Amino acid sequence: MASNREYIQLIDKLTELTQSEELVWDRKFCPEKLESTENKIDVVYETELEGRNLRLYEEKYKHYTDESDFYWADGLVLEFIDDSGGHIWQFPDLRNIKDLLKAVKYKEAGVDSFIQDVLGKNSHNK
Amino acid sequence: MLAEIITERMKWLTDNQLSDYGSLASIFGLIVSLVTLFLVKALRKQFLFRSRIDEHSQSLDGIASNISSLLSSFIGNEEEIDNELAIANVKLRNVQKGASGDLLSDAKKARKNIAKYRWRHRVGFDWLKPEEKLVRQIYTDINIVVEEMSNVKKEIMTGGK
Repeated sequence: MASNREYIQLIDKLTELTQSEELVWDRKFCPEKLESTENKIDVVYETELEGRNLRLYEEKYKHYTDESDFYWADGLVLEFIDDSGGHIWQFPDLRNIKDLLKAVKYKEAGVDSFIQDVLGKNSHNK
Repeated sequence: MLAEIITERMKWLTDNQLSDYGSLASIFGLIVSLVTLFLVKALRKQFLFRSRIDEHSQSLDGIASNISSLLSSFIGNEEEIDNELAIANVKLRNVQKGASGDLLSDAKKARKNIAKYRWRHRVGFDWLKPEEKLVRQIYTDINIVVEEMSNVKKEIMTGGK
């Protein structure tokens, strides 16, 4: 079994590959089988690396403090999935998954090209 | 032979005056005081570290996130990365004061790489400029420190340390 140290290195590598656009993630609506009355998921991101499918998403889930009392807690999930989107194995809850998701969203939004487009146009206008 | 030694020791004990025992007790007292002082100092360090572990962990978490964002475009962000690393260095130095084991060695490793980046950045020679790879290594080092801190916190809460 790999150590948390190795998982951290692996997730950091995924962030690096995402930032350098060597790894591209597809945005998909949440598959029905992922949601239940106990959680809420908006979108998921999927990619393929070294023949393995990975899925990354943010979820809100009910955290029970008593039998009927709960609050909505936030969680991040990075997991291996099969070809039909079925869950295989989930990575441990590590802080750098948050940075990976941030990098995925940053690339998906195309922030860099948007800045270049807007600032480039402005400099042409001047 | 043994009888001779015992006789000699008994003679030494009976020959001593009360002031000699007083002197011995003073020396012993001084040793106990020094050991106590050392232990109190170590306990104080431990207490300060434990009471601020969440604060340090959250600060390093924020710095790591900032570094990760800045790494989306390393060229042009070198100065801001240097600023973030300067703050990280201070936080890691504080962590290092109360840390032990893996956490201590990981914090030291991160600080060593930070010092390398900052020195190369300050010198300013083109051929010596720090590379993105080094910053990515520091980012991973900080992530490992944060994870170690979370482990230490769990151990403290369960009374393991």
